[in-house]
Amino acid sequence: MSQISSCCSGQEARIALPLKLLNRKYADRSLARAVRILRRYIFTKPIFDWQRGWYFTESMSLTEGMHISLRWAKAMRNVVEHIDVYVDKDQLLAGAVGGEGRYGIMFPELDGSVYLKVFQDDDCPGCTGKAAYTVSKETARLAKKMGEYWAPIAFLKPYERSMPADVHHVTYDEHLHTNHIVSEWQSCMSSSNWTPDWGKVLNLGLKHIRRQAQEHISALDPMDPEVRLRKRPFYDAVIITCDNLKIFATRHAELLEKMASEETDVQRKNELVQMAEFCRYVPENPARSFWEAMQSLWLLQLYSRLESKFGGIVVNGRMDQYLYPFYKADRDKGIIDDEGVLELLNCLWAAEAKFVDVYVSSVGSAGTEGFSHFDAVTVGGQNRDGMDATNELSYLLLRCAREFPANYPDVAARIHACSPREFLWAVAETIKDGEGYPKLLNDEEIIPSLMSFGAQRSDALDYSVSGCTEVRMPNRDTFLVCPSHVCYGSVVEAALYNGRLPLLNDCLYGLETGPAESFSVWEDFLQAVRLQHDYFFSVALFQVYTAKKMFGRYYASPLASAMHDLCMADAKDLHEENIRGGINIGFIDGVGFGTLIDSLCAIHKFVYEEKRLTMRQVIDACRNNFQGEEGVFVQSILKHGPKHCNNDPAANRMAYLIDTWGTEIMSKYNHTMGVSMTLRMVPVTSHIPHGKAVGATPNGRLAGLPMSEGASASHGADTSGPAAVLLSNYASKNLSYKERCSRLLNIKFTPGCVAGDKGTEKLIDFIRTWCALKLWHVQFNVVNRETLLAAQKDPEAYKSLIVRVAGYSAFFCELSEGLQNEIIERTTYDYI
Amino acid sequence: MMNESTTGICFNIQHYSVHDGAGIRTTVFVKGCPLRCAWCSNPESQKFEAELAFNKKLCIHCGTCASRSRSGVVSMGDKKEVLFHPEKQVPEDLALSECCPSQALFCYGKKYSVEEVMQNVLQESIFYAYSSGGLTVSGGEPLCRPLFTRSLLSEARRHRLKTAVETCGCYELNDRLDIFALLDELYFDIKVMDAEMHRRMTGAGNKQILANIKAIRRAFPALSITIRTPVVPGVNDNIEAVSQIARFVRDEIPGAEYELLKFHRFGEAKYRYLGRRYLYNETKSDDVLFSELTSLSREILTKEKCKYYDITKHSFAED
Repeated sequence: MSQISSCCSGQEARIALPLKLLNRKYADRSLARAVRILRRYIFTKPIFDWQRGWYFTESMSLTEGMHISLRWAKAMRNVVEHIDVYVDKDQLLAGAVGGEGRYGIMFPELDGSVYLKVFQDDDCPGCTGKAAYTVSKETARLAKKMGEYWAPIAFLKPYERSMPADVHHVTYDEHLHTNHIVSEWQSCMSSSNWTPDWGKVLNLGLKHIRRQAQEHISALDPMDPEVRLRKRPFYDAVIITCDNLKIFATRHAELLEKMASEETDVQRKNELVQMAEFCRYVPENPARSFWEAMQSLWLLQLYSRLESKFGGIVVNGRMDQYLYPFYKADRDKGIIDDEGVLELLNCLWAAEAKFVDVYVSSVGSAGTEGFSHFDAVTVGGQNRDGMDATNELSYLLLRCAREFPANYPDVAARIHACSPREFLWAVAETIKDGEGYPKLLNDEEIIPSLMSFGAQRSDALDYSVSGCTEVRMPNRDTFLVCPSHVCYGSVVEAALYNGRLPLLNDCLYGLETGPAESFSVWEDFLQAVRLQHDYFFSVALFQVYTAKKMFGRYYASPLASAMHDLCMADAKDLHEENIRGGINIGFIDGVGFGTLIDSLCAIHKFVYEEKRLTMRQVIDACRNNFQGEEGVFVQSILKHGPKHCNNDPAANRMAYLIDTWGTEIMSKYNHTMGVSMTLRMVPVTSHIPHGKAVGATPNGRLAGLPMSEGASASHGADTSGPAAVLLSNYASKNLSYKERCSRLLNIKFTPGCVAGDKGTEKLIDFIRTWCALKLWHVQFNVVNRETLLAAQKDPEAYKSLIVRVAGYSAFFCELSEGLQNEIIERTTYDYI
Repeated sequence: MMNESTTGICFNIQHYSVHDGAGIRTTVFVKGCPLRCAWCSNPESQKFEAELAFNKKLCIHCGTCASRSRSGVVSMGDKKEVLFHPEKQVPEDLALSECCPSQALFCYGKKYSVEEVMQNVLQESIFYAYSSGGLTVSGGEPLCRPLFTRSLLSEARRHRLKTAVETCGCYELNDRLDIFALLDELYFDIKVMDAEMHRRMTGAGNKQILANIKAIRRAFPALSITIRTPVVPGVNDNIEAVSQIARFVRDEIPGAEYELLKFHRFGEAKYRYLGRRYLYNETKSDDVLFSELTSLSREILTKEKCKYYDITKHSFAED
């Protein structure tokens, strides 16, 4: 009897317009400028720019043996002195890498050895148009040279050599490519996502930090060998870094002055003069206005991006908090109105969107598709006193998320029990617009979790979203090592095949727990699964631990460290271990939670409980990828077991068990590792490559298909509605352990489900309940399946269709076909 | 016959229902309906008994069902494919659905006790706590299983859930009137005012239906009532038909909300599974007309004094 109407979400309506989105005329001042800038490059292929990599390498090759922070700061001096400075036409914020168009930045200290292979000759994929980025032949030649320098000395070599034989065997194939059983990310990124305390510099200026460093130096005993070896060079690096920023800003000021002198348009001339004044003053000094604060922020971000690859991005942090004093003061003085504020914010997104995180390595490019970015902008939540922190800027930032016609900004809304209804309304309305923004993070789960790892309440209250679903306390967190990903699909396979993995040449990777047919009772089989699970997790723990020990010798981030209270106090770079007073939280990601739950449930029900199938039948059918009459028969039974995300008691129990295994092994080794290790379920998009390495699984999934994503259901398995998805996730957490952090949870709604004010009300109810259930994260995807199918057929017409994938959003048509299919197959709730 | 106060046949319990009442709800669909609306999007709701259905796409043609079927409701065809003959169905055939490995052969309708339903509904308690939601009993026609529905609603009330019912209004009201006292919200369908059209398209006249809703309103003047009309092409997708209903709502059911529902064909597959013919395969909803009718109905409901609607001018004429 229930009759529902289908309608379009705001975004679909925009795409349906005959004129392409970006060709639309934007009358609003707040958007017109940014769209003009954006239109010039948003659909161009990113240029892989050589300058940072080259100047960085040039200096590093001359400073071998020095303190790493000092080397880094000097290398950055070489970069800021020589790199082209550039101001985009119409931009109100000066600074970009390269020139026109989108750009990628080379970090050869990370993947230099890959450059050697990729840029071997003139017909490299980037030169011939076969890659997702372009490089000139000259750039390719330089990249290869960088590779020659870095390959023998970069992190990867000593890192892989630190691994015992069995860890190495599980981790890499003979070409040092990942096996996708337990993937290390430590050699692709020198850091996981990081959020610096931007507000500190906007308010006090870098000169404050420079002065602090000088004070530290004068307080040191200059004859103390520890001071000479370690502390003094660190503070020297901080001072050089502060000066680097001044050089960088001044070069921009000079360019702007030159541009201003040549500019004929009076208004633009004034803008350029104004910007030049700013660049002469910030970030060295405290910002004096909202616009100046934005310029200071952008120069800091740009430098930060050049300095290190923090998970590939620069996180915006709690913008509605640290920008608010500037906003309020300018508004009160009548210097700026909200349209003007939006115009500047939109200029920032346009500047950020020029950068593309280009991966040339195989793990990286397979793991984050569609040029992912996680420059999270945090809005809402609570302040350091625990009061609601929502203000006018929170709403303006949400408006940006609704109106800015590209997948920026990556807004994350912090929700808590006392979030005002007005804020929830604005959040729900923004979600309904169809771009999946904002993602939601739950104060009620995250703050207690951070406190359980030793954070002060006020620091925990002030967390900002950093990356996909992770959070950071800018002056308290001190652990940067990237997570490893453990494939849950490999766990079940190893238990089924006595430690062998069929798609990896049937080699022994796991433990020899015995042939699965020999397990006459369920408990024996389950024990085998647990042994494999613990073994693979122990490999991941080793990867993180050895990286923890090594990172400080290979990487430094003088600016990020200069902005960190604890690093400054302890004279240690953020990459070093054991920074005094720091909270160290590490992660291991479990990939394919739903796949493992559903597989174990199917075996439990059909083999051991109902005895409809024998273990032999299951093994044979999986090995044959469910081909043939018998295979189809077995698969059709296996497909109908209890499934994760349906609030099914059996599946919930199984999920709880797997969560317990993970949290128990973390708690077991936390002490020896000196890090609060946690179980996380955030695959980004690595559930796709991991899935490719896993044969058919006992939940009826065919070989090579993706693993289930994050803590979400297996593809299309969540048939009981979104409430059940939340309840299953609630039930699957063993709350007697604290060793758990973010779980990524995607829920897709069709626009018809949330239509009108009534739909908004219900979305708010849903969010309130999610908050009460204390789930870490949720994000929504409001689109029609039909839209996605149409986009697959006609990518040109749907070029600007934005789809949310695993904690970030990307242009749908830039994703691989595999990922597109997966999004389409995820259950859509017609009836919510 | 079992005591109907404790069991009833339901064909679906749908969690996270948000179109059938306030807040986030669970809707229990009770099987069996006195009407046979030609456009019905839940054809499996019509018969009072559980029934077999067959989704050919899922069938792996293993033949397990055919080898166990005595009535011949399923058989193997010449090409070794499973054929479904719903007309041959006998009650014992329902058990066949359990032997199907792929769930291609399945059953619409399952007997539930009130306790079982409530246990299921209460799983999502926290969603009712954070919204004004609760239990909606729909169908089929829930009032055609009055004992079951009454005891479901009383149980829900006992658990402090908000309650709602969706009904077509086609039944003897007298011994059911007390059920409406258990409701926070009522959703009541009025399909078309023209009695002849109603009989032709639904299999029954509308005299009783219209009388019932008036009586319900008289008995429960404070009950929140929403009248719904599915706009069906060829039945009531015109200004005249919608105005008639809207005026009836305005004049005879004071305080009621009125809502038009857009035509859709989501039920099409279910007809196929049941081996029944679907008459609306080619029919599409006219969105422009629908929004016109929606604003028209709104205008009528809010306009107290108007006498008649001038079709030629698309506007109301005052006295």
